Amino acid sequence: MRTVYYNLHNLIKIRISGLSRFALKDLNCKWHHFEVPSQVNSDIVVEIAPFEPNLEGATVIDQNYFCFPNKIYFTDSDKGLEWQTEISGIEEGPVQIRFWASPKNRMKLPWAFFPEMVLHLYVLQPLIEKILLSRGALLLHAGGVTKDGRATLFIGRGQTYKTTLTLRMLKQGFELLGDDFVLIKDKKVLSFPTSPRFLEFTRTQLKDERLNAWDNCRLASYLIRQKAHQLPIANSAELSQAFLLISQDTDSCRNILEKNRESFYDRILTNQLLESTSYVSYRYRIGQFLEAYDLAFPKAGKKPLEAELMNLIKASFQDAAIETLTIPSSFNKNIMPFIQSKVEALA
Amino acid sequence: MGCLKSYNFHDIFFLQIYRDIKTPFDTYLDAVFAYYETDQPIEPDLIVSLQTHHPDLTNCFWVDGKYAIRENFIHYENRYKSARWSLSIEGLESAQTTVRIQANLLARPVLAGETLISLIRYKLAQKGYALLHASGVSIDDKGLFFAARGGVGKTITAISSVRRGARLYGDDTVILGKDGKMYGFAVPFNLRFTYDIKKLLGVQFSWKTRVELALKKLISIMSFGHYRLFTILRADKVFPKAMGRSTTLTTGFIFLRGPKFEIEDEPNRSLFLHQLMHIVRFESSELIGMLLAYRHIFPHSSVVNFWDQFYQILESATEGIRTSRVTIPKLYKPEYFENLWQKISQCEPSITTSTT
Repeated sequence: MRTVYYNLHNLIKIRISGLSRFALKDLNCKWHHFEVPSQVNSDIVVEIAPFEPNLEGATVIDQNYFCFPNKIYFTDSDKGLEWQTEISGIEEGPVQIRFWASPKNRMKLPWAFFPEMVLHLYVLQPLIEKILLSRGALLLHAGGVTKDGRATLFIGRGQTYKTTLTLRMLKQGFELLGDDFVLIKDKKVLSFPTSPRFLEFTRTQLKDERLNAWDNCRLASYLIRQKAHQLPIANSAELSQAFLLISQDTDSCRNILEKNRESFYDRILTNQLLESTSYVSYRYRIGQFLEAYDLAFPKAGKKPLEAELMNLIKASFQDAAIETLTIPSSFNKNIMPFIQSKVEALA
Repeated sequence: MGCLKSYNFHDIFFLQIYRDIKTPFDTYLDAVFAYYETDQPIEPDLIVSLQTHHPDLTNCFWVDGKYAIRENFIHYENRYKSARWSLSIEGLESAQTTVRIQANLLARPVLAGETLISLIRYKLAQKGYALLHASGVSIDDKGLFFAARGGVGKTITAISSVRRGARLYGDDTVILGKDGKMYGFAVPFNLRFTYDIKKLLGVQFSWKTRVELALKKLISIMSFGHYRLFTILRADKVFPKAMGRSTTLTTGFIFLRGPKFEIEDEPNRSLFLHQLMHIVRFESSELIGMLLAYRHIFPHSSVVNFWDQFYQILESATEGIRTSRVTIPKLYKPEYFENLWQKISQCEPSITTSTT
């Protein structure tokens, strides 16, 4: 059993105990870039172990979500993998999480062998997004690179080649802020690299992002070696330019002229919100447990999440140069020169 | 051999469903809106067409590699276990919307459950009506709804009320109008988890239904409750005299499952509406995703404020009604309904709390 500590730019401190001895850094703890040897006063304490919940007196939503004041227990499942979680301190105070994914389901999906992956995606991510929002920081779904202390962001949904563009920019002497997430606080972009070894493998060993069966085997052996990564990762940068990418079934990139900045902000908002519905099965949204808790214990005078998110987006991107671009749905050689010229033109 | 059916929902909403083939998997699809079927020619708001089709997706925008989007058009695929279906929605923002659905056999029974209801919810909201996830009854032309997530006791409450002389508007969904009226939206009873249906409904079934129910009960017992086949029981066939069409809304209840039975008045209407919205949104994951994707590409379109509009409809529909919250334990006992019935029968609003 292992314990890891994350310190996310002093904004959130997390402690996860009960990791299996065979846990691979990039697969199981994809935020291991933030790992620190030890720390006290963690905001979120996670314990991975089997546990028996006490469900007496709960308000039950959907037979899955058992809500108590300031506490929620839920069993959830997606694509055949089931897990159970208990979060105390969901509204205020230090957050304590008990988590367990039953091994009996692990045969159903290969990645179900790594319950910590489920923990990060389905429990921690929506939770820290909410906590960060309350602390004025935005966990943005975007790729980001930096040069001379100025950050360039690529914001977009899946298959808009965020990762590919980010990796190609590294070759141009840029430093990495994150390929899937970046943090924005007070108009400053803070790095949030997830699974850097994985990314390094993609950069050095593969022609594009797609992995076939052979690549998967190579990736596994690459990750098992557990060496330190060689990626140039910057700590933070000023937010100077942001591109919103939209995938279109054409051959070349083009600009979409926005009538005003509002629609750019709205697209960022929907980009954030869509994250909860995509890549998961029908009828399931990531972070549904937060909604279930809200249904059981509604709070008077609470601002809707969307409005809060929008305010933060507006404040963050106020001074940045912005542009909305369409990008072909299949990657071709014309894209990179176009993006580069845009990056230079806006700088 | 095509099959075209038209449905008229109280002259406020018109639906047309076309199928190019009939399959044995369509029993539910046939029964689901059967009460509202009409022979009259209609001007449909929503045309649903189950057919093989190959949508032209050139020049479409793509979101997540899942949604293909053009102005006024969206196409996406969905799957649930082995059921697969794809939808092409044309005229998303127009008055008349055409949806072409290609579904495999397993998907056909699933479709009506969420996909069709989501589309109808979207179209109704466009016309100023909210399709609520609630059961609805009326007593002396005073409308009540019981909104809840699944498995709390919507259906049992509605059926018990009907057996005491109330009219039924729907056991799973009802329509609320901005004018403060409640309209029926009766779909077959949702009684998957209750096999002692005869005792609950208090009606005599034909021998065919009785054999069917007995067989299903046997399967359920033999598989230790693993397989629970649900029975299609049309509300208008079970209670032909008790079906209501429209009524004035006077009271709204939200049911939650909790440790002990409790009824409390909810004077804060925004909290009440907030909970209602959650109940509806839990039911509409597919619609939420689709509208977000469309909004991501077209941030100036009319769908941007869909959920705000939905909230506003609910707000004006529930203007001036009594609102209460009921906590119901896991096992729905008859005495809970007695308490609830007392509360319903009281004319003056009161703040007393009754506990058993």
